Amino acid sequence: MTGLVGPGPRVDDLTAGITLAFILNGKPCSVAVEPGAVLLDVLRNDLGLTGTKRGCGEGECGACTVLVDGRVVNSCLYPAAKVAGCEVLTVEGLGSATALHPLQEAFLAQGAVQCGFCTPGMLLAAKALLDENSEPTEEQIRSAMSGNLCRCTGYTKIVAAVQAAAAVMRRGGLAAREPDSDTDGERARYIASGHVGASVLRADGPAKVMGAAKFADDLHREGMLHAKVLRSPHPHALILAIDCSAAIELPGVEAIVTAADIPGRNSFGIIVKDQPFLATDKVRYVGEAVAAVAARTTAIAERARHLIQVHYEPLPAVFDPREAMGAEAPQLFEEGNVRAHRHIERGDVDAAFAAAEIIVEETFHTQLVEHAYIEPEAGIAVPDANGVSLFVVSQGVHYQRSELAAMLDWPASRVRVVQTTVGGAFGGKIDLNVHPFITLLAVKTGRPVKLVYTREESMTVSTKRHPFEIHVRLGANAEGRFLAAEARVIGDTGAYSSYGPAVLTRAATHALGPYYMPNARVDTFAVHTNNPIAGAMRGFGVPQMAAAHEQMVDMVAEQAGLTPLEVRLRNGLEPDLAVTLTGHEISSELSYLETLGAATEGFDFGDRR
Amino acid sequence: MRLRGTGIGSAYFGIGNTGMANPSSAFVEVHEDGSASVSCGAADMGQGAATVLAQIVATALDVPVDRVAVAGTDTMATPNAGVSSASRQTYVSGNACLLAAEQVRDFMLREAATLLACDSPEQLILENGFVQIAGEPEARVSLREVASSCRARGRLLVGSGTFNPDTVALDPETGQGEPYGTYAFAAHVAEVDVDTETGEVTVLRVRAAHDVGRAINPQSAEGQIEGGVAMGCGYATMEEVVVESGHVLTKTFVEYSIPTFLDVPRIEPILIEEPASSGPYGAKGLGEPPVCCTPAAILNAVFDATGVRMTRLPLSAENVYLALQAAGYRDGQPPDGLLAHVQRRATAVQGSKG
Repeated sequence: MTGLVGPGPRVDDLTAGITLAFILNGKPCSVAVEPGAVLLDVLRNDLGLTGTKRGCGEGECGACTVLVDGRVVNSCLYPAAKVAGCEVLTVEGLGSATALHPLQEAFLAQGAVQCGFCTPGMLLAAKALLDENSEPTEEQIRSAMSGNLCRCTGYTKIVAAVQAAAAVMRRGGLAAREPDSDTDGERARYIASGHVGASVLRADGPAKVMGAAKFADDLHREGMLHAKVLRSPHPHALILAIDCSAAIELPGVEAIVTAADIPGRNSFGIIVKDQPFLATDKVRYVGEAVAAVAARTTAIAERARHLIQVHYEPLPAVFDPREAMGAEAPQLFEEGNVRAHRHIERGDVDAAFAAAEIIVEETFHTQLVEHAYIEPEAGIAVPDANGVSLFVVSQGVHYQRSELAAMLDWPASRVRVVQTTVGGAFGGKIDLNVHPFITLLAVKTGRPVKLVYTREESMTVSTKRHPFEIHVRLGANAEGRFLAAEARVIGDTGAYSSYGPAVLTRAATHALGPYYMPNARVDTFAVHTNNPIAGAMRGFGVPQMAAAHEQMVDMVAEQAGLTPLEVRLRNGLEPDLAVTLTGHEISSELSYLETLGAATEGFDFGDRR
Repeated sequence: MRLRGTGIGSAYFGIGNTGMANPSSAFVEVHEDGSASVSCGAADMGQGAATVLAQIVATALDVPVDRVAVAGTDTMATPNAGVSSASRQTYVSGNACLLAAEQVRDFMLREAATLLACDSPEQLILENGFVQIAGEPEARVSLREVASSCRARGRLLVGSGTFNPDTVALDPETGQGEPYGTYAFAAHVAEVDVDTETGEVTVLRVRAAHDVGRAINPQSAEGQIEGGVAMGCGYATMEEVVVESGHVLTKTFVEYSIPTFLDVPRIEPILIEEPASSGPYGAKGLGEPPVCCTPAAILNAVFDATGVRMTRLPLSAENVYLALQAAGYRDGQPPDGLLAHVQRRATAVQGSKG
């Protein structure tokens, strides 16, 4: 503890609120805090230092990392009262715009910043390490920082940045960007000017390493309300009645919206508009939104949503996509549970299999996966002279605007969607999330409305990567040349379409990999169940298919006595065999064998004969 | 016992949406001082799209990239570029921005032709912030002068560009068509250790080669590969949303683990540049291909190590242990039928230069 004057926290203070005095980023600071407040809330809400991020609220992701007396703490769990008299360092105190800390410089120079949401926490964890150990090994860096999660970078460049900063700090100097060693005149000029081919620093990097980049949860508007969403506890049920009377009476509640408050079209979806913004007569998955509340505080909104009475009549549910394809299964939609079927037929598959000397066959199962971006879904909607403006997470503002305008029955031009700095998305922020709720509530109240999902809410209701059941049969001649293939894929797309039909279409066109396949039959199905919605996720059905086709290729190699490398050299698309599964001739831009050669260089696959 | 294995995972990836229109549009404005602004609704979620678009425009106008600013996406300020998915923004929006910049460049060359009293703008070259007549380095005028001259004559330097990949829709009956404007190719090799007593899979190394067409920003491209490999490792070995009767049970980072600093292997990104004739400066797309290859490579590496095919993801210790047991492994020892496979692998590892 430093010798700062101030009343130490006493037990009785914690019930009445206290005035907390501590050193914040080198300067004395005094702030009144709520009883039981955590340090993160005091920093972000009371002191306006939004550089420190909330990723999970449970001390697991490290986005909220700050230093208290030089030690790493997860400020989302750390009682604010404990910092009385201490020195607290946040990202805002690490360096300044005119003199970045060597770690900030190194993160920029090494390309260690992508979305930037984990960056402030990473920087402080790294600082704590370097303060103790000026020359850490890679292992020590990885171990010391293992409490900080990043979903974008794969950590490689963060490790490199910490090592580079350590070297600079050991020399006692400020970070100096190393001059490019490339002396070729033309190339050097391109690097200097940052043209195509140059690894220029990202334009949004400096704001991200300083904690100045504004993510949606960092925004504040005077008089803004806070929203919470009431969601279905049932996987499949009829809604008989919704009673908001007790909830609306709660002091501090400003508005509640249900499907009845939607003036326009109550359905959305980029391919099929089958998902309601707010459920009307039926819910089809656990977590489906039924009502949304705006209140003066998040706590009031949270209490109010529990006062809304929804009377459900549970329906039989289906969780297995194979079962859902049967006529006996509970049907989610009048049009049935099979939302999409894609068929590819090429050549004479049956004749080719009959001629095959090697046939391998297998069934693969892949799992449901979460995007797990570190920044939860968040946004604020602001009524304005034109209509309403959203400052919100997004992977495409125009699509979101079109859905919201249809919901309001307004011209698209009256709805403005502005993308905030986004803390990772990977396909998971491509649909609507907080958007309809804050829009409806802002329009209804005439006041700004903010909604930030909790980590649990995000993981419950965000769209996910499709689980696939993949059955493949692959035939080849004795030399391991592929003759025919057959694939049947069932994708569990969950309760609503989202991107499901397109994911299963891409799964079909990519079903058999970068190989020449003269005869093929592929069928892919997007099937509804009462499971969480599966939608777009980085790879879009291809990681699942590659997990299958790459193993099948190796199985043929095994039978033909070839190495995994040889079988690919024999079958990989090349200028003479440059036709894809869909009959697309692509001879001019073909590079599979080059990538294969580069990846396998230095590896010995042995002799399999 | 710990067994080591090596596996290949390959993929190709069509850039853009499958066999349907997915256009992008952009505006480029060159200001009086020769600097430029770009408006394009291509969302940057951290992957670096805005920086890539700035580099493309800077190259087309031949100005330093720090004189090009890219607007944040906003329906009131940036034109529709479609969503950032399908690994499409470098290719599709990169082309839209390039077309917009080229339109402005043409305006400037025409203006410069007047200023230089040159009859044919085709003789002009734009280089290093100046327009000059080819072969006459003395006869030149700066972009700043060109922009000012335009302004004085009541002309503004605003260009627009729209690009839509050239595709043929899939036939509904046969699935045949030309669904993508270009294709990216990739191959990974993963090296893993499998603890046959516990089923634990450790990914040691992933060597990841990607054809990006043209690396607009090589460091950023490497970052996409490294992040995709890490995500692929999580997918292959640890991640699973557990759902029971429709209820998600894995709702926190405690219950749903993603790779940490300690779970990610040594990653060796390799950039191959096979230019796409239709790509901006030859660029294809890179967002998704990395995560497609790594899981497959790990699966094949586990087979290589153990002789057992893993048909169910993820390769959690439990799933791998059960698969090994089912294949006849006992107390970590392979059954007689797999001894030859395991020993062959051990020989290969000893002889490996990798």
